[in-house]
Amino acid sequence: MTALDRLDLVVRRGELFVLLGGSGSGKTTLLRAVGGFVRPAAGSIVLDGADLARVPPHRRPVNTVFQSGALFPHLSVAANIGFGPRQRGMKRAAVDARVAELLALVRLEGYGARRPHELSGGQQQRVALARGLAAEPSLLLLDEPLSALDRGLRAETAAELVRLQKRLGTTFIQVTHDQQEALTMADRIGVMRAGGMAQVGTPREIYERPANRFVAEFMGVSNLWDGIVRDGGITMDVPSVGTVRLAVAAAPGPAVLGVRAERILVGAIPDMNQMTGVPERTIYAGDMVTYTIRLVTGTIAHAAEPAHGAVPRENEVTLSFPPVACMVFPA
Amino acid sequence: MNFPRIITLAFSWAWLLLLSIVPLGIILAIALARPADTVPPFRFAADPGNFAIAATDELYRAAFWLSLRTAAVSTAVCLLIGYPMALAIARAAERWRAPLLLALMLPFWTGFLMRINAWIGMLRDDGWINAVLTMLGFAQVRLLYTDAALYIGMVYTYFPFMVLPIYARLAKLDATLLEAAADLGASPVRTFLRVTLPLSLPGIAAGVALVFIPAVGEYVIPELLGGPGAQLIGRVMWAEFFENRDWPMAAALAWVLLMVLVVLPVGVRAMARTTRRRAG
Repeated sequence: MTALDRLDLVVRRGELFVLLGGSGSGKTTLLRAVGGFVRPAAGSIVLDGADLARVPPHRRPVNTVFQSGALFPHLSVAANIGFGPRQRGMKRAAVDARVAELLALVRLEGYGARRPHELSGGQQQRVALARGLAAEPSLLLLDEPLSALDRGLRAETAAELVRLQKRLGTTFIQVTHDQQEALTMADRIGVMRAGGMAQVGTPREIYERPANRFVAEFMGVSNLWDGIVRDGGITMDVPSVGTVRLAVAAAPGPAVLGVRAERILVGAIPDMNQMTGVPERTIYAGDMVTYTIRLVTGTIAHAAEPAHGAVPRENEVTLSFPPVACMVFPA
Repeated sequence: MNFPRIITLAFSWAWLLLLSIVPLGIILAIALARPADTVPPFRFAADPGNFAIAATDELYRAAFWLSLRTAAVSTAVCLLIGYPMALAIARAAERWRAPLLLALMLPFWTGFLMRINAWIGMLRDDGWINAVLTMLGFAQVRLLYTDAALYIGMVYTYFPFMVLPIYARLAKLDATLLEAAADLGASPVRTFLRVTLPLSLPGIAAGVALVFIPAVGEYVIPELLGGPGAQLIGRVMWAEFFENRDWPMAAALAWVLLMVLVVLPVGVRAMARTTRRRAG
């Protein structure tokens, strides 16, 4: 079985690059290949001009923050952080100074003598980060570093990670399956699918201009309808909706129209694409209310509006979406 | 406390009391008795003289030392061969582990005396090992009734007790820790010394205890494979009991051995704890 295939990726020095994908997309395999734990059957992994593909992990200038933390349970926090520098031959006094510096960096001063199991999950994750950074790697790999943390701590730790990364200027490659985490943290995102790159771009590009149907779906575009772009490229015949006006010309021929639920407004608004249907289900999610609407053509549409001030929708409604909300993908 | 719990606890305590504490009490009573020409051959008394002799007599002391030394060497050899084997089984592919463990334990399905007798057949002057040696043109070597045979028997018998607890420990070891060590620049050898070995220490301790303690008191192996010089404490006790019919002396020796095996490790542990605390 091939876990990674025809994959070409350039990560820039000093950026926080996030590999985003579902399970089985190959994101973890790619990270492990860069770390040296799986050896690619073909191809190269180049860091600062040197091919690492055949270099064993202990000789790579790359460190990893493992998903579980993987702290050594028999060593103190200080010994865990000092492990890398000591293996790389740093003198004891210098190691102690470096450990103190890193404990301060992750705000765990005074915790050096403790054992990992005496710390909370968030603290352990910060020790794992400090340990990864201790030997000053040219590249730090982070495997789902926030997945073990509970929700409140996650946002805080994410912000902390970004702050640290910007301050140190170390290149980070982080793996996650969480779109929100990728969007908020990354300089650039690589969306992975079946061992390859579905799209590489900034968070804004990935969210607003998905390159294909897969990325759109993965990034939460819930309305995807097949249709045909007419000659001229600015109108599209979509059987489930009708004729749709586009803001940007697309290549004529069969295509997929994508519209985010939150871009579809309830109500008839002039100069917008319109459709009518009956609400079947309402989902309240705190900030937003999402409606599942059966259109007159029989197709399902999803629309969302801010929960604040939303009125119950039960009878036939008209939905509107502006041409700029239309995304067109190759069929 | 609920009823099933009381039953379970009562059962455990009854077991311990009947099969461990009461027999030890009986042995202690016999050790304090005086030998007599009766059946059984002792008369109850409160004579600590046997303990004094057991602890000071040259012959007994030599037997204790020889037993401790033999057990220590056997334990060390078991550890040196057993650790790599435990590691190999723990690192073997999942589907190989059960068959390998089974192979390790298979000999237990045959009686112990049968297996020792099989060794006699192999180690004898006209046995299989010498047959192979002479066939290859080497001179015959004397093996049976030597220390070599004694150690072969000891290591062979107690070996699985060393491998199993170490294996159990290594099999539980989180492989990510080894990756983390490699990731941080540790070569495979350093990863072993700084991560695998320290994390398997509890398994080593269990294995050492499981081999060393029964090996000290071993009677059958030195009797059947060892030379006449291998006067281990088990053999000496046997001689006191069945040949000299001095039950009180044999009982006193048994108690001294128990003290050596219980008090010694407890003392060592207490010492280790204080030094660790002082080291901070």
